[in-house]
Amino acid sequence: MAGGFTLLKRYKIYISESFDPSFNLSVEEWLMDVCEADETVLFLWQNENTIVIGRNQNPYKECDLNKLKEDGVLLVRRLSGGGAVYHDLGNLNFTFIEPEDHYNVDNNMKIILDALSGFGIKGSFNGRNDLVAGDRKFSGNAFFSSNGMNCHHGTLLVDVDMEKLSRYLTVSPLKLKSKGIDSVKSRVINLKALSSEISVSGLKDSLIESFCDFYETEAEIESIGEKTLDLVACKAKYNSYEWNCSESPDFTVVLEEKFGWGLVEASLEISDGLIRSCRICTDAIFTEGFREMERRLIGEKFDRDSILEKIDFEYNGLRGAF
Amino acid sequence: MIIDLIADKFPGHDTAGKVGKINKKAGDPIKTVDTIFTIESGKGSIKYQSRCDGVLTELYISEGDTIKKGQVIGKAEGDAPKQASGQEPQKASYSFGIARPAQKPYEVDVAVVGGGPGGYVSAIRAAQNGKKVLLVEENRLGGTCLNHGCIPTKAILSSVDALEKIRNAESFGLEVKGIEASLKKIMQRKSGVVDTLVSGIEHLMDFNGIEVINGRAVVKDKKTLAVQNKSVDALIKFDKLIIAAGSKSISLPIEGADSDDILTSQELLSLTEVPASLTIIGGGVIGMEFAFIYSALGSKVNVVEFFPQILNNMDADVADTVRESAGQRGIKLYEGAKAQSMRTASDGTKIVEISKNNETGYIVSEKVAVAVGRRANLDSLDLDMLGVELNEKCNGIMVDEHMVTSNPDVYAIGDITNKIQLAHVASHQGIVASDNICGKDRRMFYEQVPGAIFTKPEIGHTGINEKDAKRQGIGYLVGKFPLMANGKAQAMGETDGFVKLLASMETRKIIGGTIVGVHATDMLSTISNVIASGMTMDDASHIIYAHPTTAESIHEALLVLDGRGIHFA
Repeated sequence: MAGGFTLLKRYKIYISESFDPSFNLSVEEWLMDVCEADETVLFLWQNENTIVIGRNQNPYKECDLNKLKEDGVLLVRRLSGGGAVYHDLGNLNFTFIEPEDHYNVDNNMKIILDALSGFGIKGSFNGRNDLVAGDRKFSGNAFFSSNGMNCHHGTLLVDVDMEKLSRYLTVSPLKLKSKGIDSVKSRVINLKALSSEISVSGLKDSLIESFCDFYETEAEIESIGEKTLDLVACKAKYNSYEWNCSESPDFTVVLEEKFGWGLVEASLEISDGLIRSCRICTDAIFTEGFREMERRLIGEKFDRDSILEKIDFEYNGLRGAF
Repeated sequence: MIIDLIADKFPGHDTAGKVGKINKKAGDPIKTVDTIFTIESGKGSIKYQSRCDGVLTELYISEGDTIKKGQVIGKAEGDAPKQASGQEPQKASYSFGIARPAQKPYEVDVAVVGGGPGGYVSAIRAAQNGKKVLLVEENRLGGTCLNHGCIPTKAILSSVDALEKIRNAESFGLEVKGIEASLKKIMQRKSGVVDTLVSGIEHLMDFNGIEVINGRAVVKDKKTLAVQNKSVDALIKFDKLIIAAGSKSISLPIEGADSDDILTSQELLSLTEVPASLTIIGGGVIGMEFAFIYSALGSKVNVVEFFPQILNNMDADVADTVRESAGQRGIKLYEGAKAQSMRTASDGTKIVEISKNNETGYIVSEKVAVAVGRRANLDSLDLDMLGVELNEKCNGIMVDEHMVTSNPDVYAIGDITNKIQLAHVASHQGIVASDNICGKDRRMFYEQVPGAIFTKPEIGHTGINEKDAKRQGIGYLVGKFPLMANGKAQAMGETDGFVKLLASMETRKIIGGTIVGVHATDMLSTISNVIASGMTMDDASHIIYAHPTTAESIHEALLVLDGRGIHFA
């Protein structure tokens, strides 16, 4: 007879001790692999000074890579879709991992909104994957699925440096046409501005409570860090140029610079992070060397250092263009 | 072979998305699970992975394109798509061309045909006994019980119970207005319950390491079965075989009975609109359960029963209680009446011709359902080739008390044996069969099979009733206690029914019991335990029953047996 048993679901909560985005994104990937059909997982984590771009975005377009490099801001591509976000330690990230059959974004949103209501914050889920207070967004959400597992993750802006957020998420000055996904600008607000009581650690506790209340369970809570979990191989991916840059959809970029000796305009087509075609136009009197430069650039990485190395022959004067 | 690559999975339940990063181009070699490209929509991102080893011959999309569900996005050339374990089955839209599924040989200790309450239980027990087990199911795990029988009717009945409680709200001092029942939503809830339980069995199969193949088993020879489905062409060599292929509804051999609009119990479980009126042929357990369900939902229900009494195996006082309750609800019973024909009027209304005491009558209703019993699926397998013989009546597979058929390597259990067609009998037969296969001497006895009938009020019965005792010439004592005299039943406003116990006059042992009324089916196990322990009515009356519970009426019935009931005079 059917009915002689019930399927107990298991609930687990993981909290990351690391602020390294490559580690935390590796943990998500690992959880997607190990999460069982009867489990629901909540993972809480933070990244230090990081721009996280969507799976099908172009870092060259979404941010000013030079500025990031100068200020030591990390850049990493995530597996979920959507737009670019800025993380610092004023931001708390959550991840829900669940198998297809009991995956329910509305439940997850309710857990988060319930947690916030404890601080007197009344948020809501807008139609566009954001949690908002009024018309201002405090949480961006994104999703991916693989082999019947689903990941729903998002940011919670508690006390983020808004000045940096807008500085780093400024669209690049490059003239760039990408086939990927563009970020949509939103008016954002820190939760701290809505409730003076809230803090990242307080919100963490409240999320755990709200998760347990919602599922009427005492979930196992586990701290994980780089010492307890070996994800070196996966981390290497998130730290690689190949993943973060080359995995962009194809794009074209026009680099333009005026020098004392004339105007130079280079049109490049980039695919898999490599320059596939290159066309340099100039009104300079001397044009020899530019054809050579085009030839040299084809097949090279679209990256400042690689390009500089290639054009750094006798035409030093062009350096400033890149 | 050439395979069309079809965009079949999108994030969430989206049906369109944007092509993100493309990782493979035409001409690239591809392996199963290689990511060809990423699809992104508002609901997230998902990888489009290769399902074959071979070459990506054509790719019609480019990054940034919008694609729709079902769109052919390219072609690949390679070997037959593999079904990666743990992934959901590939959709039918995935073209397999002319290729046949791959042949796969299996060698198992025990093969089970049928995944109902007999088959899946026997499979689990055989696996627990350390055997390598494979189960073949043509439809969904859980069989008739779970998909078209016990469970879905109980799920619907729970909705109906709630509805009746609300309707009677006033008698509890409550005022409720504007009650509306949606059969569609009731059926949705039912399907949800069934789906949860089916996935539970899938999980149990997985957990016990039982290989499940979906498809119809065909006998190849005495030691081999074949099963073919879209993804596998399996050849199964077994040491022992358990046949648990179940039964199906019987249709009546009368005019109009094979018409498409005559409903079976299975169809009664999936109506989305309540018929204005419904005639059910068959006043047995299935027919009466549906009569109460559809009556509560608003149908004008008629029941035609061939035997002189509805629930003909029950004692007359049991049937009386149910008859009275049916009458109060406006269910019209035609007992001792034979259905002669079923015709359709020009407006689609059904007309059932019945004869009772040599008089002919007509019943007119919107729908007609037939629930006159179930026939063993004897034609589901080539029993001759297996060397398996039928019983004397030729209505079931012949088995001994170990569940062995005439072929010592083949066992049969459940409805196909036509012993007693109940889920719990099938499950128990399954355990007996698997234990015997594993060298334990277990036998099947049918004297103590309990029954649960979900009429209003419900009925639970086990052991011998008065009819049986008279037929078998057993001298008996009866103790009967009405629920009317039970405090809890009064408090609940559920006073219909009684507890009736039979004791042997000779040994004073309890030999049977029937409970009619609220909680009857749940209370029944107490009586089963008393009978199984061989207790006399005197010993049994010394057990303390908690107050205030409906089960106290069992205690009272025990006391009444001895002529010393406390709360009933």
